[in-house]
Amino acid sequence: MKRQLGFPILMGTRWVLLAGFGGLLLLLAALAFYSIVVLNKVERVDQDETRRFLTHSASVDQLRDRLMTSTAEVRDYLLDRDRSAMEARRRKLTAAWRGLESSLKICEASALPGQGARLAKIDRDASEYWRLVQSTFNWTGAALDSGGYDVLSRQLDPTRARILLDLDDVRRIDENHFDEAFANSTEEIASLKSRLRGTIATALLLGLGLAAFSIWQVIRLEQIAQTRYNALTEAYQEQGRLAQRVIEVQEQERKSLARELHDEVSQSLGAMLVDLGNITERNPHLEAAKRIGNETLNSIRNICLLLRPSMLDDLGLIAALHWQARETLRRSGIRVTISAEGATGDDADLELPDPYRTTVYRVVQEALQNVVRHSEAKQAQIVIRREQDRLVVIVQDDGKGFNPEVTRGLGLLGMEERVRRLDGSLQITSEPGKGTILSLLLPLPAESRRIGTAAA
Amino acid sequence: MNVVLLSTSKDRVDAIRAASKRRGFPFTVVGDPEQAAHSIGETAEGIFVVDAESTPHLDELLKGRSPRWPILVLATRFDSSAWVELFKAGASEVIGDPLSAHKVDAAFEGFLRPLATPSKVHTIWRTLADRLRVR
Repeated sequence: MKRQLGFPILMGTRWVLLAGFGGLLLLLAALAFYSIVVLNKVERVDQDETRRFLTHSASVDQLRDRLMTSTAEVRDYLLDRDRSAMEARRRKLTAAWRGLESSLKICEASALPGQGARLAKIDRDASEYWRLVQSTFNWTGAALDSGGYDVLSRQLDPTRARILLDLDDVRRIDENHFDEAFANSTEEIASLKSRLRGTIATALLLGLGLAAFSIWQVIRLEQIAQTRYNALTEAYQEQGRLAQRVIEVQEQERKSLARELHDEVSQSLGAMLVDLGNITERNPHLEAAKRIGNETLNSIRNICLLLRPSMLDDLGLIAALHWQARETLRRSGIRVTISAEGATGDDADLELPDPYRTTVYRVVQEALQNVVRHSEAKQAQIVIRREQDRLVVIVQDDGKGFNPEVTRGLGLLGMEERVRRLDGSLQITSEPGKGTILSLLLPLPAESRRIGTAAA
Repeated sequence: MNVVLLSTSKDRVDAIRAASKRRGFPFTVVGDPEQAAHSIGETAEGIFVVDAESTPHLDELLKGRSPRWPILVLATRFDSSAWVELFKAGASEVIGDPLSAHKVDAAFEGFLRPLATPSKVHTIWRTLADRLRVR
């Protein structure tokens, strides 16, 4: 039975959609996480490598500048013929060389693994160069004139040239390392792009699949819902038809039973009582039989009227309601007044079709029964008024009242069922101690409206 | 379906305006019976809502009602003896405080039924709604 209603389909769909959308979300989350990690890494490498490259390049450039400055000072010292400034040149030369040594230390501190040997060689060559320069500091002017150029050209300049070549190597190692780091970053980004493309394609495919599956399921659910709605609609229509048929049959049966009791049983009993009345003999048993016969005849007449008052068919709704009011007074002592107003503005009969007449009569009958049984009222009022295209019926009592939100009996449901069949509305307003008002609004059929309009 | 309200109470105006808006009915507020008569005369049919507290001669107003304008009376606290006199005077429906949306909607629904031809679906849904309300 459940399979027909589609519950297993819904349960399976729920898990498939949960897994699909969950997987899609996980995939997208993993992709986002991976992208952030890779981008952070690339950014960090780029920044670190660029900063290191620039710093080291600057220190190498500074070293080269100071080497060039120092060796120029050495050349000036060795070749200058003005001997009066010798001491000043030595001090200046020494200061320049200290600056070179300082730059060399900075370079060594930030050296890459492949640069250590080169820088150590530069250090050795520089020390050798400085030792040769220092050895000339105690030379006389004549010694400098004769040997200064030789020292410069044969020993110092070749050493200087080696140092410059080594510095070029150090620079090249820097550039290669930077290029390599840049290539790594490019490769990382390319890898990220490739994975992004793959993941996005997968996510799109999965999303498309999920969307197609969801649409298919929604269409199926719509079809199931439509089928069930149609079945429900059919059931309610059938239920309505059955309820209407039950009410019609009930009215027919009541009418038939009332007619049978009136035409057959009452007539026979009446004839019997006439025959009994013709017997002149005094007999207490005969008198008792006559009395019982009369009481039975009255009971049968009352039953007939309660089942279906013939006056409802013969004299109309208002007359039948007046009889009901009298019966209520007789049975319970509750005084019931009727205020009827037709489309013509008087209290003439309202010329209602039979289903409307019967519905109003039964609703008022049930309402008055409730008044008698539950309300402890002293009096009740019935207002019935035919308007242009509706009938207004009010039943009011001055009884103890009740809470309509809490108390609802079967009689009320029966009234609502009858009213609903005619597309009317029934409202009950009551409060404890304030009495009760039942208001019934019945739309009149188009044919009946024309009668009312013509009468007006 | 037009709705004309005769009231000077802000709460009641708000309640009826909201109910009219829910149903898409044109809504007019008037301050006295003359204005009401003018508004009612302009359109063929509608619902005339009268605030009992804002209307001094309510009985006369009810007796002079227009045939195609049923009158919905907004009364104060419920009192069956007083309310039945309003019905006898000509009110088609009476609702009292507290003025809930459900009460106003139910009253409007009662007036709509004679004038509208309900579709099967509408009837079914209303039957369903009625059954739920009963429970």
